Amino acid sequence: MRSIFFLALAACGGGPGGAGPTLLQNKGSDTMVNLMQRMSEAYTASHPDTVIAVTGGGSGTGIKSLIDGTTDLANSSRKMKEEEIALAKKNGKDPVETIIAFDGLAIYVNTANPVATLSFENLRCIFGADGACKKWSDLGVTLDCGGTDDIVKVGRQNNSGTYEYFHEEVLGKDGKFTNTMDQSGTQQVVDVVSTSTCAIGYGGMGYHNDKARFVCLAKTTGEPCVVPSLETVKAHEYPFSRPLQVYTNGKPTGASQVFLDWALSEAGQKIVLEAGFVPK
Amino acid sequence: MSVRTRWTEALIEGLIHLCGLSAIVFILAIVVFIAKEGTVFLFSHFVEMWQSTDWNPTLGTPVYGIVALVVGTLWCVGLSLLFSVPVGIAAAVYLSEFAPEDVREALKVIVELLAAIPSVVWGFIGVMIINPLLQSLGAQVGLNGLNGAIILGLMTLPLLVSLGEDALRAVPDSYRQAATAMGATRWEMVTRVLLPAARPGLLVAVLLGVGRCVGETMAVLMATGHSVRIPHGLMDPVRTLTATIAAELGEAVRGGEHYQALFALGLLLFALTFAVNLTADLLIRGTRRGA
Repeated sequence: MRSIFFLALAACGGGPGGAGPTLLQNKGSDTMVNLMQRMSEAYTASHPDTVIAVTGGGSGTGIKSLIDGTTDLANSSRKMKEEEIALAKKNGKDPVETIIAFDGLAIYVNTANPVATLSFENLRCIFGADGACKKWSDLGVTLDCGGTDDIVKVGRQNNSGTYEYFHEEVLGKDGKFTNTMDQSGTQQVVDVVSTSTCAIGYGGMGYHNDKARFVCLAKTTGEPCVVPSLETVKAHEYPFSRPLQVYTNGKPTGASQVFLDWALSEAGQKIVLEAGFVPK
Repeated sequence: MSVRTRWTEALIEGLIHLCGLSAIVFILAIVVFIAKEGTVFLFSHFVEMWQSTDWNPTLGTPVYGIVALVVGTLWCVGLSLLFSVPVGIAAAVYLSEFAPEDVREALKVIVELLAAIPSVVWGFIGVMIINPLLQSLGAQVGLNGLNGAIILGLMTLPLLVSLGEDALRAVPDSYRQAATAMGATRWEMVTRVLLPAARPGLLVAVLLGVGRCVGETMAVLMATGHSVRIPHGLMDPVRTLTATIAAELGEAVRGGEHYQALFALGLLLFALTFAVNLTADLLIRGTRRGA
């Protein structure tokens, strides 16, 4: 009886000399949760000594957990904020980022919308509180949605990493959105855009359908525009691509380091592509 | 009575007593919990909160204006009552005065079934059925204030019908007999005698319905479009107090300003529903004393 107890204890202990697998906690971005789940499965298949427990909750949640020391790897679809880094330092943590993939942030409009191209200035004009673009005709687009052409603006809730990325890139830190419909996922954003002719929304690249299409996006008005695709995001031609990163406490070491090296290897990057993202 | 039965009696009485008291304990605990997190913010930002229609808690310099959220809540509740009160009371009159016994029993079961539909399922109905319906009627976006109001109306209908029917049936039969004896038609009896006599009870039903609407969260989060703004038309999306808390609490840093602001919203909601329910309660007491 006693020997069984000690055996179990030894198995739980793991460690370099132990027999049990090492457990890595991985938490954060909802955008990345599918990608990390796939990686975890493939990794454990080839490295049976490591088990990776993947949970979502949002980029902010993952970063909070890293600061609290309850996760080894924090997934984030945005960079850590200054106050988060300061809080981490205060807690004796030193967050280090490893970019494992890229994601293009697409602008979606209804397929009935003839708009050919939009620039970041146009997006500011549409989404910003001080922007003057209230109707599609303000942008020179002829569109009829039952007697009106008021732009229906669809976005994400203010706790989403996608929201924060779009907000910072388009409006800047203190810019205000106005009258956006704040949805809790990219699928919902695209659902509204597919059913409302005058709607415009933003979200990850994987969600277009036969009623909602990508907008060809230009950095500044007059420049040639780029449609988001694997190629254009990878070549950094698409102006709206963001890195997807994993934060660790200090430079990755031990099991975390082996896993992240694998994620950046050919085998890991193949999974990035399969999950609909762009390899690094 | 043997000693043993007396002893069990005392024990059971004590337990029931404890259950009654637990309600008070829970209410107090909830008040203390919400107040602990929200009071400081509520008092330090009270004026600021009522000065802006802009709710933007994650900006570099956050803005905590709640006017649009309060208007959004009242807008949905008001619109829903315009629809649910007439329909609900008419249904209550039918059930209590006109329906044959077996029809009434069947309808009451169906009404109770309606009350058992979970709120998130109502949200689904808003997104999947009313959304395209409103759009085919010419709405730019189907997820809007009217959608939320229709859903809220349907959700409060069972409450209005059940309580309304109780209020009408509580009117003594002698009133009906007197009205009939005076030569009143059934319609005259309902409009001139029964409805005035049951008015306090019907008012209580409406007020409890209001309380239910104000606090409803999941269905309005899904159906209203969740957009901070003062609505200018029936088809404008809106955002309610409850939906804001539900959508944002998940990632608000515990103890941070945003977190406290959401608890302050909770305190306001609590005060609002408490005031409505208290009014209903006082009205019930008023009727009892009058009767």
